[in-house]
Amino acid sequence: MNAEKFAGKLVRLAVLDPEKDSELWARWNRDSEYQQLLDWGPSKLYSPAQAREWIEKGNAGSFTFSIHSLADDRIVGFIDLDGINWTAGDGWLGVGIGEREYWGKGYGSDAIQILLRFAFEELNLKRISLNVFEYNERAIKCYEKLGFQHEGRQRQLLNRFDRRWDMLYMGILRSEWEAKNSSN
Amino acid sequence: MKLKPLFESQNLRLTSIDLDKDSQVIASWTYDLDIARRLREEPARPLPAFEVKKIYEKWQKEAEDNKQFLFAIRRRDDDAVLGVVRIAHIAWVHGAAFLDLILGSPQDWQACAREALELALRYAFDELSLFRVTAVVAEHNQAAKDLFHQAHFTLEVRQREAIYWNKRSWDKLWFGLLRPEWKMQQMAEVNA
Repeated sequence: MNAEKFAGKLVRLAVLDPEKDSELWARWNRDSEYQQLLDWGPSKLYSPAQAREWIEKGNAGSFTFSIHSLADDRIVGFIDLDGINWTAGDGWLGVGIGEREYWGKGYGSDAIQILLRFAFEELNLKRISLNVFEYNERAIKCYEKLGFQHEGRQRQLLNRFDRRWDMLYMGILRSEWEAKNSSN
Repeated sequence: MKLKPLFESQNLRLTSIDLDKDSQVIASWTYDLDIARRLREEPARPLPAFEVKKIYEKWQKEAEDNKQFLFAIRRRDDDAVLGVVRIAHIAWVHGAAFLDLILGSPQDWQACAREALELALRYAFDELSLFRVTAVVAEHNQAAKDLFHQAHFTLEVRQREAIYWNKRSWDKLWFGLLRPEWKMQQMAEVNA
């Protein structure tokens, strides 16, 4: 087995298990704060069967993994790379840690490191993009620490919690990632 | 109350898309890869009319469900189709959408883009009551950058090297215009 590429310090990335992950996704979505940090659409509830159908249908253009804690192999979240523009070598990153007790402890960050390595070293991408809501301060700090640069903000894009919020855009170039990782 | 017509301006009309006839014309524009890039995902390539027709068929269906809005831009004089404008990726909860303006030739862009944009913005803000619109432009497209600056859009996001065109990487630029900013302009024009 050659799974080292998909393992980090705290987590490993694994292909989705339609049965297990669908149950978890349905349960995580009951946590509306999780959804409000993750998605700009209205929070919704899906049955495990709906989530399963979505997973099994798949999307040829995207790479979705479940995030397993190395310590106990528990599935704590998911990570996703999609919207890839192969000509420019750009892809969009999304990550969600559904299990609250794993928030703010570096699990998402470790998963992103693994995905960046995969994106740059195997997929030959040149940059990775993401967007994040202005109010998701924990995520913004995490992306900054990983070396993502601020690339701008769509002003007042979101209408939530009785006011408008910006959508922040961040990106990391392969050259920046390489420089950061060779100095560490 | 005097209502301004939504689909007419001095030289232009917004109309529905004639899938058979217009697809032929639009397909002929897609040798310009910057136009092709707006019709389907990368890699951009010239598209045959039957593929263009399929794309617009799908978009027309979505338009019937108010998921996006789609118009041909025609010259009033002779009804020739000069371009297409699309308001898409609408998030109704947030009153936000993307605006995509295509004109088939640089000459038509020069002559009509401003007028077509005015029509599109009036539709977006007055009819759809959106709060903001976003337009995504490639750094190398000087004419589009000029247009959105002239129309008082703000350059909000610069995704470095996110586009590949003509032998090198270019930034992807995101311009935004907010409803209050647009309203201010309308007032200024009325007062002028």
